[in-house]
Formats: sequence, structure tokens, C-alpha cells
Amino acid sequence: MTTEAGAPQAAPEDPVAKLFIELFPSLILNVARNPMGETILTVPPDEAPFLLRQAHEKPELGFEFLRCITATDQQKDGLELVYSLLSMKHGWTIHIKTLLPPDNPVIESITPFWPGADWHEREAREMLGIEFIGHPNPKNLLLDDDLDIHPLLKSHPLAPIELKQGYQTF
Amino acid sequence: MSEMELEEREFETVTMDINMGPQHPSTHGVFRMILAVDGELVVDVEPVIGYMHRGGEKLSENLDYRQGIGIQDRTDYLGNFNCEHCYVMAAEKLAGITPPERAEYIRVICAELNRVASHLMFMGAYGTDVGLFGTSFTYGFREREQIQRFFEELTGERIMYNYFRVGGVAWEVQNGFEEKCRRLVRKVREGIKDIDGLLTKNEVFIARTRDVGVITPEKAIAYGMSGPMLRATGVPWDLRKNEPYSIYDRFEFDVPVGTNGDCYDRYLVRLEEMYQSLRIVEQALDQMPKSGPIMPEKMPRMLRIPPSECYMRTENPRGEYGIYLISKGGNHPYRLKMRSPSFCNLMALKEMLIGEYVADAVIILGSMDIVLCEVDR
Repeated sequence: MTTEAGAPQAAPEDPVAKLFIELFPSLILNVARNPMGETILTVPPDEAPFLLRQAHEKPELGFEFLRCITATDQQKDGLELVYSLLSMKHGWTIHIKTLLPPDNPVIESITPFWPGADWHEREAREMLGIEFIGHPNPKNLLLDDDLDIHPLLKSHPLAPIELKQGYQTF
Repeated sequence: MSEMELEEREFETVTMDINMGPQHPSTHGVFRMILAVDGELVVDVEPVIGYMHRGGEKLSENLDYRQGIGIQDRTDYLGNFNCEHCYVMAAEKLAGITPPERAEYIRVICAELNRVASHLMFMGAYGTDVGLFGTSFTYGFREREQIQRFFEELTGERIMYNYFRVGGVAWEVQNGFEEKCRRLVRKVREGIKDIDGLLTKNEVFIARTRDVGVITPEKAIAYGMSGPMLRATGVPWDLRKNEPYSIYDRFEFDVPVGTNGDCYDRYLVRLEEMYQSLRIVEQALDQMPKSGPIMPEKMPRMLRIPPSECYMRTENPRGEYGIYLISKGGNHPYRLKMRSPSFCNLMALKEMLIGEYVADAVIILGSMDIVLCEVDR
């Protein structure tokens, strides 16, 4: 929820979101909650690695555990990355979302300070074409080494079963 | 040359690249490790995965919320019920459906027995890796076979169960479910004692697994490790206790935690987890309502979920299994990201393997208990 003034407001009973807004008021574009009651913060792609580093290293935030990096093709809006973090110390889970422009999906890698992001970023690169600057080993992970397709893009269709079984041809 | 001169001359060594290729009896599936070895010491390792990639995430985008359960079965073929549980819970959370009590208890019983079956497979395969070729397999599989027979009576399948549905379970349990289950728990408990007696105090087993593949808790958390791998390092993090889902907060059970973070501790943690899972099954049988619905009354035939997203996670036998489900309306997901525990645990392989001997590579990989279908999806 954003007000007209631009600074995002958090729901009163959400301590995590309030803490983030207090510490980084200018970075956060939007605050939302998912059906599980967890905060989703939307940040611009230039600020996302900085915010993740702060979340990882600042003791009052203390997010030591990277749960998942989900990369989605939002088609016209761009490519969306969601970093799901866990703080075992406090028991908080947050999701930091950022939207990359569809024609230039480039973002800085967080692998240098968070080794657990390594393969997640590699997979996001080969499945959707997002480029992570500074990643130590940006080779294909699951697909063949020389294959240069990005299968999880919505523009890459799933072949109909009839085509595969030879009943239908293009 | 005199002996003194021979000792002082330095031998030039060259690191050799050895391929522990995708076809290998000890890599637990199609997994490739390119080891750079200096004699017998591993200097560098590059894991190569992707041999079992079937595009599960892309397929799930085109299947509705009942068809997608089959994909989940095939992701972790040893902990199927736990993966199905995560998927149906994610869909239920977004749709706002609460499954009835009886269905929740049936789900927990199935999931915990599945955990026991998965760990029995681990015991069998790990004993084989260590050197007890065949014996530990037969010990583990004798009990696993009984569990699979029980599930075959329940669902019709020995492995790919496809039994959970969004809202509950597919059909009512078989006749004599409760007494058969209690008898099964008793028999499996005796069988686990046999495996315990075979491996736990075995000198060769301890010599091969003690202080091998050690990882510190801080490094394990940084790599995103979870499950028995993380608990063996001393971190008491179990999603059934720390973030209780379904009805796990109604049961009393302990979470075994290791001390050293080596392969022996991982074995001990999994062994104790089996006993605790059987405790949960017995409590669930006691608490389960004797009759009741297994699906909510007003379930639509074709489930449509309003636009929303969530990250649902369960405690699989291998660690934290997560599903990030994004729905944009309609009867199939817009994006289904499967966060599999073996994928994340495998990132730390390099950390654990460098500095160990080649023979220990098999031990360390075996102790991680990876399932390649889950790594590659």
C-alpha cells in the first residue's frame, strides 16, 4: 500500500516491515502482505542487492538464511525476481521483490556475500535470461552447455502433446 | 643416489581430473562430479547436474491443481507425500480452503510414514556406500517394503501415490486402517532396531564416517542447507516445530540434533528421526476422528484460485521443500517454483569435499542423501 506522498506505509501489526521502512525509507517502493501474513517489499533493481546485503549483515535484521530466489516472466511488466529470506534468530520471513525491465534484465549478483544464491542465480539466468553481474560461474546448470534458449519465458511455448507424439505437425 | 638425497628431492605432482561420471553406482542417480585430485586428495570439485531435468516447473504451469500433484510425486520420489502436501497446502492457502480434520490426520500419517520409508532407503544405500554391500540394503528394504505395501492398499500405488487433493485426500482409507497401521508401526520399530544394531556401533562404519565431511553451522546456514544436514551441525531448526504447518503443533516429538556436523552425526540424526516419526504416527492414530468427511462440502469441480502468491514450505526428509506459487486467476498456476532441499544442500558439496580423499567423496555424497529428480526437477 503506498500513500500519495510516496513513502510506503506498513500495517500496524507488522514489525518487520516497520523496521525496514525505518532503516531504508527511500528504497522501498511498495509493501504488501501475502496470504501467509509475510511481508513482500518491492524495491528497484539497483537497490535490491544493497538491501539484501544489509538484511544479511545488519545484526538487528539478521537474515542469515536465503530460502529461495524465484524468477518469473511477468511478460510486458518485465522479469520479476523474488528473494525469500529467513531470519532464524527472530523467526521472520520476508520476500524482497524486484522488477527488471524486459529488454535489459541485468542485476548485480549476491553470490559474493551469500554463497547460497549461487545455483539459484545460475538457474534464473538459463531459464529466463536474467544476467547477474559478478556471478563466479554463469554457465548453464540444468540445460546442455551449448543450449542458448530460455525455456521458462512465456514466449517459449510448451509443445502440444500431439506434436510430440507425431499426430500433428506444424 | 644415497637415501638422504632421495628424501630431500621434492616430487613434482600434477593434479589429475577424474570424472565420477553420470553412470556410477555410488552417485545415487545421474550426477556427475569432476574431481581434480592430487594423488588421492581432492583439490577441487565441480558438480554437474541437469541429467534428470524434465521441465517440471514449466509443465506445472499448464496443468490444473489436480493434475499438478503427479508432477510433485515425481519430484522427490522418496518423500512423495511430503511434496504433495506442500503443493496442496499452497493451493489451499491461496484459495482459502481448510481441509477437514480427518483428512489432516490421514495426511500426517502418510507423510510421516513416508519419512520413515525415505530414511530406510538412506540407511540401505549408505551402508552400501560404506562397504556393507547388500546387507544394509536388505535390512532397510525389508521394512520399507512393508510400508510400501501399506500404501499400496491405501492408494493403489507403491511409489507414485497421487493421493492428496486440494482440500483433503482423494478417497477414504482402507478397511482396518487403524489396526494395520499400528501393526506396521510396531514391526517397523523392530526393524529399525536391527539396522541400529548393524551400523551404529560398527567399527568400520564409525571409522569411515567420523570426522568426515565436516561443515560448520554458520557455513551450512549461509549455503541454505536444511533438514538433517543442518541439524547434524547443531542447529535445532525443524519446520514442524519452528514454523508449524498443518496439525503438527498437536503432536509431541523431539528434534534430534547432532554435535560435529560430520557424516556420522547425519546418520544418527536420521536414525533418531525415524523413531520420532513413528511416535507422531501413533499419536495421530490416537487423536484421529473415527469418522468424518475427507473433503470439504462445497469443493468446486475445477478449482480456480484468485490472483495471489505465497511461499509454502514443508519439512521433507531431505530438508525444507518450498513451493513459490503465483496465481493470476484461472485453474492453473502462473508460476510454480520448486525449492528442493537437495538442490540447496548440494551447493555446499565443494565446501565439504575439498581436502578429503577420493574414497570419502562417496561417503560425503551418500550422507547428503540427495535425490536427483528433486535437484533437477
